[in-house]
Amino acid sequence: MAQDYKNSSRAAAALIFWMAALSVLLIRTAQLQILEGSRYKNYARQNRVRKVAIPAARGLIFSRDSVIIAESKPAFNLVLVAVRDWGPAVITASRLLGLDSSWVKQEINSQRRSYPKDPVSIVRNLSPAQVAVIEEHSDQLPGLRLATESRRKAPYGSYASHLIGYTSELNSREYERLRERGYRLGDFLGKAGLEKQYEDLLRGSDGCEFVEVDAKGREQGNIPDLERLEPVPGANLYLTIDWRLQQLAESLFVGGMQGSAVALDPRTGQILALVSSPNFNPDLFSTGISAQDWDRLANDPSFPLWDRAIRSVYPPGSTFKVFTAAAALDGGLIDEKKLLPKACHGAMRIGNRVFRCWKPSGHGSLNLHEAIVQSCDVYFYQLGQMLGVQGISDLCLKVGLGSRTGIDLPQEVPGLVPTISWYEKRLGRGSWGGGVPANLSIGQGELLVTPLQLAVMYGAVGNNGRLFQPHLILKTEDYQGELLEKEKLASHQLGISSHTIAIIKQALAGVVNQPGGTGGSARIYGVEVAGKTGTAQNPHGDDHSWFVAFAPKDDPVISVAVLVENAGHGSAVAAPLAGKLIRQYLAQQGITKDDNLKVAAAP
Amino acid sequence: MKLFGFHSSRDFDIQLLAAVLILVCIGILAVYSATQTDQPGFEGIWLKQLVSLAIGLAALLVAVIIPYRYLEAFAWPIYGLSLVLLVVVLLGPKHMNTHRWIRLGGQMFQPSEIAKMATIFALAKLIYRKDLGRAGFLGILLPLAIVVVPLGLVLVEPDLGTSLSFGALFIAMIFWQGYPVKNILYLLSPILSMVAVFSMPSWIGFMILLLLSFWFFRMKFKHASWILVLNTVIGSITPFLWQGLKDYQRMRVMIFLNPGIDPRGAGWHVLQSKIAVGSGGFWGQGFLEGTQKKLSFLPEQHTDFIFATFGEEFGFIGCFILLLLFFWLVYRGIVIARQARNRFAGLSAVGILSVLGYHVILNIGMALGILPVTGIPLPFLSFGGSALIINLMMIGLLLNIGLRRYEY
Repeated sequence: MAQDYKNSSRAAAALIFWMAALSVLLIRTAQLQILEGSRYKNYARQNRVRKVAIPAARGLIFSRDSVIIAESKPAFNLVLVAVRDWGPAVITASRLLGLDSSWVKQEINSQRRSYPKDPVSIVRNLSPAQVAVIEEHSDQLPGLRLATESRRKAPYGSYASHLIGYTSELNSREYERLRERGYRLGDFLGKAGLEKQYEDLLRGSDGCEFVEVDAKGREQGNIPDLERLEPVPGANLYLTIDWRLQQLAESLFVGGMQGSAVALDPRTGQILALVSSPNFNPDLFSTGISAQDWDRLANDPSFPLWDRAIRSVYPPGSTFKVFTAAAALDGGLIDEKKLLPKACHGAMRIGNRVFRCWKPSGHGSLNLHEAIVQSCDVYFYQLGQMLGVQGISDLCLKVGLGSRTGIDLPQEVPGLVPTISWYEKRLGRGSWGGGVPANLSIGQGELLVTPLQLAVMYGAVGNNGRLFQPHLILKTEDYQGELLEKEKLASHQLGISSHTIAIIKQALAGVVNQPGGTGGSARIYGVEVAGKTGTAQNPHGDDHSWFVAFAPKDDPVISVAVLVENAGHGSAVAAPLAGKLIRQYLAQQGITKDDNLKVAAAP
Repeated sequence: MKLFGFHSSRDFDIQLLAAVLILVCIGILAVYSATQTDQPGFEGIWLKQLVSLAIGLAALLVAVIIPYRYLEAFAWPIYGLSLVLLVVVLLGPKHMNTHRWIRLGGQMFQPSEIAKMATIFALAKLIYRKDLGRAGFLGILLPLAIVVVPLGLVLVEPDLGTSLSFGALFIAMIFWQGYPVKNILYLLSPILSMVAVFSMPSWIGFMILLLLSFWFFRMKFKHASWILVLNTVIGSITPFLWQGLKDYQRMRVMIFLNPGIDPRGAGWHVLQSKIAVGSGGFWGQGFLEGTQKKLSFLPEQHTDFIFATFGEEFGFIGCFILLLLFFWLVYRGIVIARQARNRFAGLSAVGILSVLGYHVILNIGMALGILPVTGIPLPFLSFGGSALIINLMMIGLLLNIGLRRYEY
């Protein structure tokens, strides 16, 4: 039958294919067992092959002026690698290092239960003396070996600690999640800041080598035909941070001052300095933080681990007035010459509440320019009433307040722009009065921003309405210096008319440079600085002191936001600090002369 | 005797059954040995396997008795049900980071095991009356769809090794049904172009070969242009898909293809497996004497790498016998398939054999370090209840088809 015939040929083909496949397997088996059998027998005898990981060095972090601000140093650990009969060696090692051997055994057993085949680090970060003792007695310590690892070191201590972040040993939860990506117990993991954000880049990949060990677990040397795999160090990050400016900014927060300073280049969004005070020493984590240290940091009422620049929100206070002004100008409610119906007599009644101006004697009748320069509250109460909550929140959301700036740091918060629906949800429909927009118009009340947001917004105003996304990476390079990635610039328009921006810039320059302006202490000879003070009422204590500025006014190269918690008036505390930062940076850029800097810096 | 509708007990393939029984005995011994280690937690695992074996033998008996015509009649409902199970398992909770298992009354089972058999019957039913010798590429689309759906569902579990077994049964069954070999090669060509495109010379070489083959086979222009377009499109989007993967995902694919680049993970497994097999030598270390497995240096030594344990203890002579048994098993299966007068039955037998053969080749090839590391068990030897039961059921079906080989 034709069908049968065809069947037979296909069956024969299938059989031949099957035979061929099994023959390949058989030949391979013969190769392993007969030709190379003695070699493999050698390896197998007493488990001669041991795999030893060679940890990769974590990438370095440089400032834009090539200062190393996070580096890696080798450290030595005593590691248990044998799978059985490790008791005597561990007792000996404990005696040599002066440790309680029963405690050490208990630690080993608890880790062995969860991960029976993984090596156990018995003692980490051995001192040179301890390393010497172990090496001297290595023949009495079968199954134990010294292993190097790379530990993070912050050469400048706590400076820039919030933006760099820290690395710490991964915990068992993280290990479960990350083990299939090659992490081992005891590995370090970036847990905050850039260390966390760029973990994948910084980490590199570990190498390994194969060593032969004797029956007691003592190493005999490398196995010739199993090649050592070299570790690949992590990538290096070059930051936009200007280290001289960062250092200056860090040093400004003295005597327990709490707050934040952010400086950036509004033409690119490059962060030049980012300070949150108080700070902490990241090395505490990379050497295994002690319980006392951790308690001290975690329970400190000043929250040193909290990055105030991107994670704390504050009412913007009077620094917000420029946004109220922009909304009113763009909305056509006023023009720069118009005087508002009510003159300032130090206070204004809205409904049955009296809203005060910061200046009890009053400012009299003002136009917009003068109202910003003198920071007249009564003027802005009236604008707030004209705009309503809707008018104010619309502009805020349009320029990007209430959303994250997108800086490349973990855990940035968006702040809060209250809208009509937000109030209705919280306070009930119609149950809140005309005082709310008045309060919002001067940056008080429910409105909350981060210092970074204000620095970015003012920078965008200075940059004629183009907002660049703030970022910290200038470029990344692999360990051989090959460029991996250049910085990414992203920008968009604020959506405020250029006419309005010109008016606001003029007013902000007046705040600093005009007689009677509140920002006079940030004045710099020969350069027009534009900025705004803020004194933010704070229900939890004394007022927060704000100053936000950019300079030079017409073509700004720097924009700065300084916030000092509970420090009172912006004009008195924050403005001089911001002035110092701007002064130094302009001098560094050659925009002002160095000797000018010295004169200005003299007390 | 015509008790259950078959002609004579002489038609019962006792050789096939014998091969399988020897294999399962070896399997129990191997699992027993593989779990005698310095590590706690393995006590009595071989007893569990013994229970599964008893259930599996009962399943085998049932599969022998029930006439396969019922399978033909119910092929589509069974197929539909298996697809439902594959979807259910994806919606269920993860176990060991994958969606492979469903827990049923304290027992875990893999729906993909059932889907393999269901797909075999569905595909057999779809094509057994067709002469695929004259089917072009369009004629194969529906059969292909029958296979691609479960393949895709298993792939997202993710279980690459098992999903490829659907490909194996598809190729084997359409081949058996007379589909031209050159067309099969063209069906596989997009896979080759995905690989070839990673180096320009190999891509150019591949395309030239493809064009030459059109001329050689006197392909119709219409067909040739379709194949060319398909290969070009798949070849050119592959690099973009590759770029779209995350670093560690790419790494996983590379490690799958070459465990040597991951000496700490998969590479370590393969190295230890090779050491175990190699140290067995010609005569083996002896039962229960394997040092590699005893000290738990072998990964998954009672499941995926059981061949390494076996090779360590029984040496080349043991491996030779084991391979001979597998050879004999499939050889008897091919004889049954060839003699089956009913084409549905014959095709089903081929499907079953291709799945078994695929598992044997891939698993042993992996343990010997010549094929990618996939989590694929060795039939009848690896520890694992649902696989053992299903495999014995499949053998029962083969015996069933053998018994009724003269039925049309």
